[in-house]
Amino acid sequence: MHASSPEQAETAQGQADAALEAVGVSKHFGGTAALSDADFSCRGGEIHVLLGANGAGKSTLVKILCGVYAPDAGTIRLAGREVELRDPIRAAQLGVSAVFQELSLCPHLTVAENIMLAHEPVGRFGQIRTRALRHQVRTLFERLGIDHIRPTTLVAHLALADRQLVEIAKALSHDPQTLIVDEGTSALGHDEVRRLFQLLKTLRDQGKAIIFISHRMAEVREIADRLTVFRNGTNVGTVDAQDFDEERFIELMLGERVQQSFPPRAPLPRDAGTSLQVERLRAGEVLRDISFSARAGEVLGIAGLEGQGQGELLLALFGMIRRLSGSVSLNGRRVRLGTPWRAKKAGFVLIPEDRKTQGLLQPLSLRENIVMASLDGLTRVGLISGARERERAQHGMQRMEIKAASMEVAVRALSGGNQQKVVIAKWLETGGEVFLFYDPTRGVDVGTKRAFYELIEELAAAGKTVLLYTTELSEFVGLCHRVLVMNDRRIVSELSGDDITEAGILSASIGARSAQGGPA
Amino acid sequence: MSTPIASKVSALPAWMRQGVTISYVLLLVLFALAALINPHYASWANIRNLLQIGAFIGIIAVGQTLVIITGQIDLSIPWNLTFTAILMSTLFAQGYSTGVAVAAALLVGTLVGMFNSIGTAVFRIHSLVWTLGMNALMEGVTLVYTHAQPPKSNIPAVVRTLGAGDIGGIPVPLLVWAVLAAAVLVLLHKSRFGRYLYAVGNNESALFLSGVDSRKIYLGAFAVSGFCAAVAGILLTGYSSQTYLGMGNDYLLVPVAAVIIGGTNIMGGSGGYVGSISGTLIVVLLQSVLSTVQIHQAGKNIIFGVIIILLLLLYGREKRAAD
Amino acid sequence: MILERYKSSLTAIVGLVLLVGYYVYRQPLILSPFGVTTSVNQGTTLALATLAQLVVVLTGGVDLSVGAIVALTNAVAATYMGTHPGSVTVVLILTLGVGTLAGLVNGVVVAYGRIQPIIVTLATLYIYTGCGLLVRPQPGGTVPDFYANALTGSWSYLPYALVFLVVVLLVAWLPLMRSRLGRAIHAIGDNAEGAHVSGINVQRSEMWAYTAAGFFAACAGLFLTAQTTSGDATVGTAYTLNSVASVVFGGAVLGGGRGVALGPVFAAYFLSLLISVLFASGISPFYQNLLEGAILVVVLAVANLWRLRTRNWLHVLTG
Repeated sequence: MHASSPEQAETAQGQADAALEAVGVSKHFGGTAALSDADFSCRGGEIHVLLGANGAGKSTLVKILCGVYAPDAGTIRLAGREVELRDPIRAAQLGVSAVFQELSLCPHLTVAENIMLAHEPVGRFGQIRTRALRHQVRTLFERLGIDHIRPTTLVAHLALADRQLVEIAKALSHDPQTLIVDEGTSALGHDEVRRLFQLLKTLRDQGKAIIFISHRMAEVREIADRLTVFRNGTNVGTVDAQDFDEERFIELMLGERVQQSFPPRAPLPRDAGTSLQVERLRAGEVLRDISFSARAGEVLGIAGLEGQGQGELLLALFGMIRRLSGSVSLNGRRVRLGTPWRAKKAGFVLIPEDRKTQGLLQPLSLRENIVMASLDGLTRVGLISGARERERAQHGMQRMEIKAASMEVAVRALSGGNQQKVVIAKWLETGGEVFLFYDPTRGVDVGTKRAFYELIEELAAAGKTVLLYTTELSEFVGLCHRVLVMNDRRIVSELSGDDITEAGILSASIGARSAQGGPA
Repeated sequence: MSTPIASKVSALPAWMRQGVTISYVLLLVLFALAALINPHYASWANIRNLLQIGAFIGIIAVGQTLVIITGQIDLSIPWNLTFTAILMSTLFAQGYSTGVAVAAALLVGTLVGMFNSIGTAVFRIHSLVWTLGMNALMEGVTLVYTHAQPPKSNIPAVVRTLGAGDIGGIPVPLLVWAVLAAAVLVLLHKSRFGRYLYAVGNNESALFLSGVDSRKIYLGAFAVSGFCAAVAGILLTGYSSQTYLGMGNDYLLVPVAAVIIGGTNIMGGSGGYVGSISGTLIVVLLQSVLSTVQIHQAGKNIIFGVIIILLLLLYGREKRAAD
Repeated sequence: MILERYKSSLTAIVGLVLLVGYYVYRQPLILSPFGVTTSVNQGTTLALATLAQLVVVLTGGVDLSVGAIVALTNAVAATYMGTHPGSVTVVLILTLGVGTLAGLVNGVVVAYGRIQPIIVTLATLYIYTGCGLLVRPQPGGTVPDFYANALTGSWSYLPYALVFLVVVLLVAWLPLMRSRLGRAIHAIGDNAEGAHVSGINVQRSEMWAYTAAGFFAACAGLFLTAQTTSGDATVGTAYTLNSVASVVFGGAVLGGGRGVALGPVFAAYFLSLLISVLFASGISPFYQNLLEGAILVVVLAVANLWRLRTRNWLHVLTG
């Protein structure tokens, strides 16, 4: 992109003072404080990373800064002037624009319509000028170097990574002075992240202020100029990038010392029998001829580039894919495919992709959620035994060390980390044999990640079979005994023992792409 | 997205608990007002009458409550009710025994209900449209079955007793209502099916991913609703000593209103039958009061609508995305 | 014009074409100017009511009071119209105003009262029916011939009803959908949270959507007045139910965000003509109702058969 000109360098210098400042900001939701007296300041010409555990207040702060929420107390200053950001369009007019974690795109509108949403060019009678709109979008795409997305495509037809790019273009369409990116990389692959970072650096060099939120330490290290840590709704520290100390940060985020490394991995017992046998699993375009086996006590990773069928494989094993052919056997017994209740009965457990919305019933109590998958065992003549239910819920709470005032508390009132634990507790009560983890640590903070790692090792040590699909390469290395690499809906490679390295997995994911035809 | 840590929050949404309570308070207030205006109102004879009329709506509300808790709606009641009633009386007139006629009616009603669930569970068509279509279909079926002639007035004696008789001074429809009400209360709060019902209304995907067949839950809810329509039809037949084509007309939206007034959320996932009972009684009371005060049809409609809105403003508000 | 969007209208368009084809086959007389005009007249009220319902459905809601507003405006028009062109014009504007106001009330309560649309409009259904009864306790009223002819007459093969519909589409529907408000209406139904975060005032847009629905319902009422030359406050129910059916049959989704006017309008004419076609094909009147209902159910099922083929349960559940 463009190199920094002397004029631009001078502008950047002049904006070394705070471009955006939040002073004493507080925000409550219901009875709980998301932000208490929080301060934050960001300069022009820098990429400022915001760190913090889930629930620490980063997203709330960011939503206030771009006008989605109004603060209960405190002031916002832009270039020294106090402003009132009444709504996102006003904020955009003042130069603050944001890219969100939960995509704000409308699936059934086109790319162009989404990008210009709420600020479309209009003519005399309030009619949207379609040609002008498309022209503006095309110009924007040119500036950003996006050439593979057509403005007339419906967003619903775009891959997740492309949707994130459109989201970013949308934020940039307001030509902001301050750009906020909230977990904007969660759906992107390596190439796209690289391109995005290039873009952000260019914008920074132009003197813009960038606020970046991420949970991925590797990314943070690469891109940050300064970092701020939030915990419990307040700012607990701001440092320059050169003073970066990962362990120190994690301690700041969690308020306690936590090991970043993986828990010790129990070696697989030599005589461990085959528990799971999958043969010629096929489902049209969704899965192509998958065969593999796994042993009791094994942690088997399912790796590959995004969207190669890894998730669908797990879903298929859990009965979420219909018209599946092939055979699946668990401990020698054939499993009937195609519905989750049959899978559950056979002993499969799926920890879903989005635990909060797919794994829990938010308004229901802790007790009701923990027993939701195992009610059959608590029921006689169709009626639930209250005493046994409470007993089971208690058991679940203790097993996962869930911190709550009582089992009658609604799950939505629990912290993010605790909510994740409830999902696990629910499934542990079903006595499953094969645990399928669908990208368990995406968007999850460090403390909860560690808890997941420990859980996986515990399950393996107890003789369960674990299949792990994750987008974090380091987790394959740290947790898995074996790794299957998928490409184009097939298994193309298998790594075990010392061969499991991040480089090895990556090359197996990419390398097989050039090969014609898959394995038998 | 930040998830604030909260102090203890009860599992029941606060407003829902409020809704049921408010509806009962409202019921008492309304009744007191009516009695003030007309002391005759508080007589047992009058209360008995109101309860008897309420029983028909209340029985339909049993099924409708279940359906609404799952987040759906059953608008096929009017013609399901009418057809099953006419079926029963026709079979009886043709010489079948009372038992067979009644059983056939109940069976058909339930089957219609089950067919309703196919729209939601299999085709994923919103029940609003599907059950409306079923209603139209059942109207057609009824007309064909009766060749558009007035149906027979040949009513089995048992049915006459069921609809118009009383046991120990209590109208039989009321007893039937009580039995069904007790059954549904147990179902909702103590049974596994009831638990799943609330789960489906809350988040069907999460329930499905917990390994539960949500389609069966829809099947059960709509089947009960169809069954209740048939029961109501049979009782109504006994009450009026005849069946007629317009039997079901009053039962399209009124039971829905009763359920909503009782505090059950139209989007599903919360509420219960306790509220539907008071909702039913409020509706019946309103209709009766408006009749005695001699406001003509126009006023009745307007007041009914206004009251629903006022009640909803009180306890039917949703937290929207804009929050 | 994004062709993708119009795909969903295909079922309704094909359906109507086939139906008309069959109708012509059975009853060649229908191809006369009189036949064409009568047929078009049969469906225009519903077509306009369907537009009203569609606006609301696009936001993700449903309007059970559409029929009641049609009836109310019908009652108002027939009662006050008189015979003088001057009074007719005034009452015309008055009627549109009444319908729009009714829609506005719906909009305010739904958007700012934060109550689910289905319940609000269920309640306002009663209220507007009651208002209609106040205006017109018994069916009746005076409608001048020139008014009736202006809307239900024809010039050779061109029915004025079609002109009326096209005018409404050009002057009201298209400008609405091509404005920022129209875009906002689609966005709200598609992703309300996302729309809000993008800077759309969700509540205000919702309110205007219901107001617009009231306007279109009033147009339907005006046409109905011309068609029946009388007012009746109780005709509403059928229009509500059929407008929802038309919207769904026409390809819009009750969840919101998807749908163009083409399909639902065709679906409205389809439903309206069905009865006539059944009659013309010699089917006993007793079976007409049954067939009507059965066709509706079957069409709904067929239109959604593809769901049975969806491989991933998650896609089935989340529609």
